[in-house]
Amino acid sequence: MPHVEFLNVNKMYPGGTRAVIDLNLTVEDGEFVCLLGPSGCGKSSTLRMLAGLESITSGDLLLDDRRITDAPAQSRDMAMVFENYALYPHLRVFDNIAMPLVARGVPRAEIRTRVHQVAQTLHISQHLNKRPQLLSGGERQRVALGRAIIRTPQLFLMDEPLGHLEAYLRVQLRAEIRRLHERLQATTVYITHDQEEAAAVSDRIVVMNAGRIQQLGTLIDLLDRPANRFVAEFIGSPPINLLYAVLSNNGNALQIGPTLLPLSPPQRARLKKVRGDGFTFGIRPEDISLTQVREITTIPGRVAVLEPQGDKTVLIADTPSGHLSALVPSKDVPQPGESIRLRCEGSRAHLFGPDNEGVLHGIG
Amino acid sequence: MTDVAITTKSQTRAVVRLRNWTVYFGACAFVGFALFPLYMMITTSVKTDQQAFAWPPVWVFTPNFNAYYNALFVFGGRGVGHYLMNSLLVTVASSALAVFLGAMAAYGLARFRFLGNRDIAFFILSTRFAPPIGFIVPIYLMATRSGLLDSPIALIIVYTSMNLSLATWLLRGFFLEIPIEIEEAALVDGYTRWQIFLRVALPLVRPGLAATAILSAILSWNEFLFASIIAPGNAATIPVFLSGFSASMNIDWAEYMAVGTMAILPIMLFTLLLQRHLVRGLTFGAVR
Amino acid sequence: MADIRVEKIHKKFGQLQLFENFSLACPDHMYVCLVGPSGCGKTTLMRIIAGLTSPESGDVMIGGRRVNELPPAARHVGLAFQNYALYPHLSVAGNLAFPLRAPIRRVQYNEAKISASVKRVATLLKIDALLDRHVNQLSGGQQQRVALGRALIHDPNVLLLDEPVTHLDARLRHEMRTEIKLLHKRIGTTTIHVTHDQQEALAMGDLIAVMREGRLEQFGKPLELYEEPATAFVAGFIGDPPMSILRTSLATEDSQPILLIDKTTLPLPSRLRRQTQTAKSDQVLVGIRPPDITVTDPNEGDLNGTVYSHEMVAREQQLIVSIEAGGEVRCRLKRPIEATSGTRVGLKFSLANAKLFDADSGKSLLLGPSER
Repeated sequence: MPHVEFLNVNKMYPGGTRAVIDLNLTVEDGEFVCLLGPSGCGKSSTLRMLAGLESITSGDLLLDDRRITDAPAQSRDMAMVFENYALYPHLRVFDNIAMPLVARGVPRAEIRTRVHQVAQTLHISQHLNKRPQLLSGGERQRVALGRAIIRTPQLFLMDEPLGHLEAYLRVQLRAEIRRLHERLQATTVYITHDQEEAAAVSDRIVVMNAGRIQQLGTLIDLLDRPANRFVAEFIGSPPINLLYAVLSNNGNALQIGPTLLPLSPPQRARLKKVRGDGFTFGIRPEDISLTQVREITTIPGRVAVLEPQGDKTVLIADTPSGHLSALVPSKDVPQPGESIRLRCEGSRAHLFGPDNEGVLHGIG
Repeated sequence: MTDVAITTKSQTRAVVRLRNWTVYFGACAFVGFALFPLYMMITTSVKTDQQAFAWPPVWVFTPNFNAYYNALFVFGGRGVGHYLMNSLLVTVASSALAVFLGAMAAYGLARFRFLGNRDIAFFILSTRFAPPIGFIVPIYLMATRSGLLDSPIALIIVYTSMNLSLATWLLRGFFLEIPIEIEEAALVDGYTRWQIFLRVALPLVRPGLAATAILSAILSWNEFLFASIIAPGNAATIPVFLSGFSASMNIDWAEYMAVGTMAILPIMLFTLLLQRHLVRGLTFGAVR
Repeated sequence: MADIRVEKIHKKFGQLQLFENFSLACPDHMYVCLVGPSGCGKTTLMRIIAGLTSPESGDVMIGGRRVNELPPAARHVGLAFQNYALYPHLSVAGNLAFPLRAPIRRVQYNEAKISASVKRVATLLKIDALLDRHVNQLSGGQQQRVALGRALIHDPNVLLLDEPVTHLDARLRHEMRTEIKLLHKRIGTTTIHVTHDQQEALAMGDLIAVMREGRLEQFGKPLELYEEPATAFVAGFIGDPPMSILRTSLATEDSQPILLIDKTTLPLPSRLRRQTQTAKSDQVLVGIRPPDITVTDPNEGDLNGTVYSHEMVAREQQLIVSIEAGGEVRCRLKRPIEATSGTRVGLKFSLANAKLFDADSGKSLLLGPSER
């Protein structure tokens, strides 16, 4: 199993669109990496360049230290699973899965054994004689997966494979995909726009936006130390709260509406160095709690909407700085209309500068 | 999905460019060859005989529209104008009827579930299978018995029924393309089926209506067989009228070309006019 | 504003008898979520209420009036379709105004009134800047707002939302959920919201109807469904985290009822012992939540199992463990362990908060035998 290296890779389309800009990325041997980002961020272009379906405008692509930048797609020994399955509708499931082997002239007896093996692994043995249109979405995606794994390629590429499926199917199938990855120990590059899916399935997440990598790391890395506002907003469910904040008049605290959060001396010094006005204060709903303390360090608000989840409820409050979501225990939760006070766990808060880059992780 | 190679060397780029130029030149030559008769006809109709037969050919000249005037009012006795009017009347009426009736039939076949839906749809298409010449005698008899021989009404009836099958079949396909949710939304919004047909379905099949109208018009305008049998005289259409002139006459070339030009111009203009409605995917992306 | 009631409806779906004597009552002004896996009939039920399809028998009542014979137009409902179904040949303003231009409303709405209504609804849904745009120039989120606006503009008695936020990306989905809830607080129209996402239903519904294969599993307030699931299906479907359901048999040991999984005994706390007295059969389903399951080394817990899958959910590691004796449980660990699929682990159960269900009917043992 190889490792993949992108070296200063750029992709520019004929119209002038720069889809991928100065991409430097290493995928380790046997790793499961997720390219995560909104549509148009460049993740698809990156994957397609890796597959050989798109040409690389400049830069180099290495597979196991071998330069494959100009190698045609057929020679790259990679398997790709597409969002819309791309199954051959006129062939039975058996033939769809067998296709890659047939194309390589593998003897028929061997094809039969391997197809049956794969079908068993993916629980689709009972569908082998059917045509794809008789299968459900989840089953079709398993067939697509089967077609990809039968060749035991060096690398698996998956382009939003679960995009068209219902929520509970997505949850089921992503576990299957992860199991497959662990069983085959295959290096996998996976694309999704769903951060929950990325967190569930991958070893490392590469967050992309506007053609560039914003940050890469494990989910905990991204949650604890988001490099910029974009990453903070994109990762985490429920989404992070972002409030406008300024340095207080005496420079000793952070001012968010009528609330003051004290800063430690090194933090004060750090903020004084930042050019420009106004910061963005980010705090996740799970790091806000209800409090009875009515001080200047807590945020006043009125309960607007309650969204129960089970043991916890998302409480959305109207505050002087706007809507704030807090994840609170469902027992004894205040009702809409009630006045409340919220306390932010300073050590878990983030501060982003006027340029939206991360300035502080942890306040107070 | 490959884009133009940007990192090729300059030599390769030159080769590619030469290849492109050769292809373009070849394409232009072919198109020029195909359009030449048309060019010839139009220019001859506005040249004097002298200019028309000059060699080397005269490229720049002042157009002379006398031929058109003669053609319209004098040519062959009466002038072609009368027969142009016949053609126009018959074509417009039969196309309009075919599109309107066809749209209603197509909508019914596309949207309503009833016994024999598919069979009726196929039957309508099947009326195009038999060669028209087989129907000459019955149609002639019907025209004579009803006293409609040599009247535009007979032609309109025949052409409408000929175009109707094609119109219905084409428009049915277009109606089936409209996502049903859009019409259901209109039902919930407070509209009746007929109102939905007029205000939602028809606007959304505009390309289909344009295509059907163009095809019907071409068919009706150029039709010769039935016209020659049941409208041989006063109600004759252009094709019938033109067929009466063989090369035995003294050919006034400019006039003859003028008649030809006027025979094809209306249809060309009609198609050009409707062309902008032949856009793809009016409903594309409306339903995700 | 009107309450909605369907009573004893029968409906076939293709060859399948989907609804058999199905009844549901949605009180006036409430936000009701219909939730369930695909095929449960939630969309069909919504279409029956709208009038786009009819039941074979049974009554559909809106505001106390029987509306079975009325076409959709006469029922004054607003419907926001899952795929938006906007009119592609009209602008945003045209789409919003379209319901008001229907001939049946000609008397009520003149041009001035139509204009005013369009402006009002557009402002309410924050699309007033988009009024002149064409539908295919809008993003998914914007199209969804137009669909909502079109459903609301004629002040319907009932608002029907078919998976309104399913096709939006995650961040927009959260935003729109809150917006729709706040909108409902303002306008108060009786709303029925169809979704397959239980998290969405829990977050948004005043009342939730869980449906499966044409049957109503439970109908109640969100936390009621979570804390007192009426059936094993509801227990395993609703809530984050949902319960894990295990098949066990009732047995006695020292004249006390206990649960038996394969050969392992699980002692029952007293409140559950009382429930088992009314059990009809000895096959019992146990619903248990992740906080009550501890992962240990193999052979150090009550049962052994192998890890089927592992994923990070927020900051916790979620393991789905296949139990050797049969069944699967979901565990959540605050401190992740080294695990891949196939790792063997031990599981320790605490039944203090568990729920028991009859294995045949799926119904909770909390309900008396007459209710099951």
